[in-house]
Amino acid sequence: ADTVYKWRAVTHSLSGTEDYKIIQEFCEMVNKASNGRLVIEPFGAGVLFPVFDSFDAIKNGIVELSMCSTGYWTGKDPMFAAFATRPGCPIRSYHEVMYLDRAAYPVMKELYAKHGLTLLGTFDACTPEPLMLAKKPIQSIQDFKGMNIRTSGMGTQFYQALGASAVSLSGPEIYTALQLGTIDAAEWTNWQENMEMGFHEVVKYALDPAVHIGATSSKFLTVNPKKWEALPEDLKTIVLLAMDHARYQSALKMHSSDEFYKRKWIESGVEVVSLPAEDFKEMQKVGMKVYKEYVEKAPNGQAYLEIYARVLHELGYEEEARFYGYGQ
Amino acid sequence: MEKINKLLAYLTLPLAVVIVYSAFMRYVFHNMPDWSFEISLFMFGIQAIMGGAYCHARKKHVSVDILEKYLSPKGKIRLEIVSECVILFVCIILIYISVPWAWQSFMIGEKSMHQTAFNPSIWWFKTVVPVGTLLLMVQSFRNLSIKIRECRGK
Amino acid sequence: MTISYVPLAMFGVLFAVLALGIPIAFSLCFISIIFAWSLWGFGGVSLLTTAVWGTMNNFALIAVVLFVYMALILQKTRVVEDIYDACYKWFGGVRGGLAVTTIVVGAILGAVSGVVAAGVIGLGLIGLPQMLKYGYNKKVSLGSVLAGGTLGQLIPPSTTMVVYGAITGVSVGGLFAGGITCGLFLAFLYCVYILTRSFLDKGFCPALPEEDRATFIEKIKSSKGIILPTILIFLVLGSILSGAATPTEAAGVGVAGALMLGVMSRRLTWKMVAESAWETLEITAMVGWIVAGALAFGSVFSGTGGNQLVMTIATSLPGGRWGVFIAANIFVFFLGMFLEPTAMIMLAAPILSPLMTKMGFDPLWWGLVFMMLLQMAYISPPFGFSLFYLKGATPKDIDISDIYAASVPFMGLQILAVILLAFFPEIAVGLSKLLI
Ligand code: NA
Ligand code: NA
Repeated sequence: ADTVYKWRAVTHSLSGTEDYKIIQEFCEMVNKASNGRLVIEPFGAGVLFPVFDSFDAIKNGIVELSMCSTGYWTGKDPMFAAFATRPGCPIRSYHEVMYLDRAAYPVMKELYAKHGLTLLGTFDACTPEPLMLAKKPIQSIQDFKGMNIRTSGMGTQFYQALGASAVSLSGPEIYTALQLGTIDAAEWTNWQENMEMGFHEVVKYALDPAVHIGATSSKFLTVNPKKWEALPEDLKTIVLLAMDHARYQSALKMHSSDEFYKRKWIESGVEVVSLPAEDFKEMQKVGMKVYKEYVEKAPNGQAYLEIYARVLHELGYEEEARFYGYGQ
Repeated sequence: MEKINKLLAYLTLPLAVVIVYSAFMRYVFHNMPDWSFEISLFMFGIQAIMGGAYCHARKKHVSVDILEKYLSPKGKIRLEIVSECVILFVCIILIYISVPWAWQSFMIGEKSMHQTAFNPSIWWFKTVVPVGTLLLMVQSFRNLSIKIRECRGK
Repeated sequence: MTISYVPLAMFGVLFAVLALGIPIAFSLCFISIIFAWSLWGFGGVSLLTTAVWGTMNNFALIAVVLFVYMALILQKTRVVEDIYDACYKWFGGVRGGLAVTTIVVGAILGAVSGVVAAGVIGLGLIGLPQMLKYGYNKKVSLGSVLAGGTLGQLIPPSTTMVVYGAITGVSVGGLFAGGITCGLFLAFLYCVYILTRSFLDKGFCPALPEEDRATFIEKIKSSKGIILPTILIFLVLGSILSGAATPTEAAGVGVAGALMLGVMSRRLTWKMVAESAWETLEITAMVGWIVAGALAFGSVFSGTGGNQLVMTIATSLPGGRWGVFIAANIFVFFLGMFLEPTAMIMLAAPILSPLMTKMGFDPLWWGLVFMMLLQMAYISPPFGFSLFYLKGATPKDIDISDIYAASVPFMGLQILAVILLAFFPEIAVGLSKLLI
């Protein structure tokens, strides 16, 4: 009889959420397509261990697969932060994000390999986020001065550059902190997840479009190298095809649900505000500067910046491409 | 050992200072220090894990001591020996697996995963696991040798 | 998918190991090692390192250190004694008054923190010695600390409720509002029980003898002792409600406040500061290692298919809608005993909440029942975190079997509360319906 492979997969998505359902579908699809020869059991965030331990857990073979944002691994290598959020980035649509990810794949794969993991590819991709939810109206770039903002990663440098105070809080602490006014604003993923977290109950304003751009809930599929090599070719192909399918599902679900949930936010009485075009431009510039300075300092950061600049050029963002050194 | 415990115990005071200071700076000056989150975690984590040995020396690790009452003094000592052996086993395993884990972290110069601007190195914080467990093991070994002597003496 | 009964075996072995008197923290670690090793090979044992590391990085646990330290300072500077003395002077004629005071203080602590370890240990250090001093029955003294100290998980702010809301899509504001009513309702039941028992049984919670009762003047004089602690409560609670501090930071404000009161009342000595630090270290390490053990146990439990087991059994039960309700209750109660609350919510909520909604129950109401059941899991013998935390905070002459016995009547009250909630759902969801 054929060998049956039993794998476990971990993710940063909470069990029960829409994001998590895409992962469940992925596992079911692999199971069916392989006729039960590869069984993957998914585990939501925190069920097996804290999300930030997933990296070592895969490396050590406790679990085989992970679908997580790179933001959790920034301590392992500063370069991971470059793929988590991109302050000031003009790349916003699904196809643009995919275009950039494909171009950056060799660099990312090498980065993961350096730390003992195999990157299979982008598992899903979300719309521009994180959104900023605020208790006070934000009408100009000046309004950020003196605000207490919950953020993470490069957002810290970004908002500090705008004169705000960056606050570190874990996900479950944000609700109470917003409710009581301990913080004035918070950044957290997308419309839907922000609503599931109940933030619409405790804020008055939502800033859209997001300015500290990234994809904090985009996931990358990584696997333990030894386990991957031990898998027969046909099963490997099934995993890769199921990943493509998940990506397709995410494109449908997240982008349509984004619009849907944005309407629900408005219905709940929250006012969606946006910055004047000039101020938005100004903030983008501040963000790009923060991003460039950060990535340049990271090992192998220059190689990635070249790719990033080229992609910006190819997508028609000439000014931004030049800022990152294209054509020099 | 005494000196380590003293340091551990008094960490509570700077911990309280850091926590209050950071809340004050945020509320009054809208300028929260970026180091307070991780610094307070460090102080707590060191206390919680390295304090295990002191807690064990003072017999403060809680157990369900129901069976004890029905045993002879010698039976009680035997049970305590079993208990220390289990603790030693846990310690040995934990040290065995956490040393390479902390070593890997040192090799890549691992930094904090909490994504703050402070972004301190944390490889040293990971060594708290094997070191704290080693202290606990030493304490457990001391207890064990006392119990074995008592068992023979009676 | 085939279900595995390994998770059940884990519980069986755990009970055996615990009965041998091996410390709870290391029993949990030991079982995790054995099961992880035998199921997944030696590599699987790394879960233990992960669990210890997860504990060291758990910011919410910092509240434990700070609250315990605050409680010890208050105890040693005899500030607490003043509250209880004053209450005894005022309500000395009412049997059970001090136990009621303990429940009230527990509810206040609960409004400040959501960490059960902090509530139970804090209250154990503050209230227990006072009740024993005045000749209160040991069981009711221990029981009121257990029950009162655990309320913090139900009374907002509560991060466990936020996690529950995020997973199930139930309104967090609704849970918070329901948490207030459910928490106060439980506290009310506890008080009614204490007062009734003491009324029926003279020696249970003795009143002050007639001739020793304080005159009105003496009562007013003793009230001076309440001023300082009241300032402290306003300081800590106020720092949260005004948005100045997060709940964890408020615990730091509590430490600063307690030290200040000590200085103001000229009772604080350097020795007290030092001794409290030493005792805090013991308790912090005790809690830290238990949490690490519970995390490791939870990891192995989930990894061996614990959630599948829950799912299979929950959906295969007969008896229709209320049969499923009762089965779900038993599950939350049983799993809640061994698993750390957040891990417990992540494991059971995504399975049970959709199931209960499908059965036609109000999801908000079920969320609150879920939280009530966790309360019960905390204090029910033989395995409950509140029981162990209290044991760690009490003098050696109090046995775990005393604590077990003490928990029984309060558990009964919690069962009663859940039944009342089933028949009168308005108790739970009334306030949130009003607010939203
Ligand atoms: Na609370
Ligand atoms: Na229990």
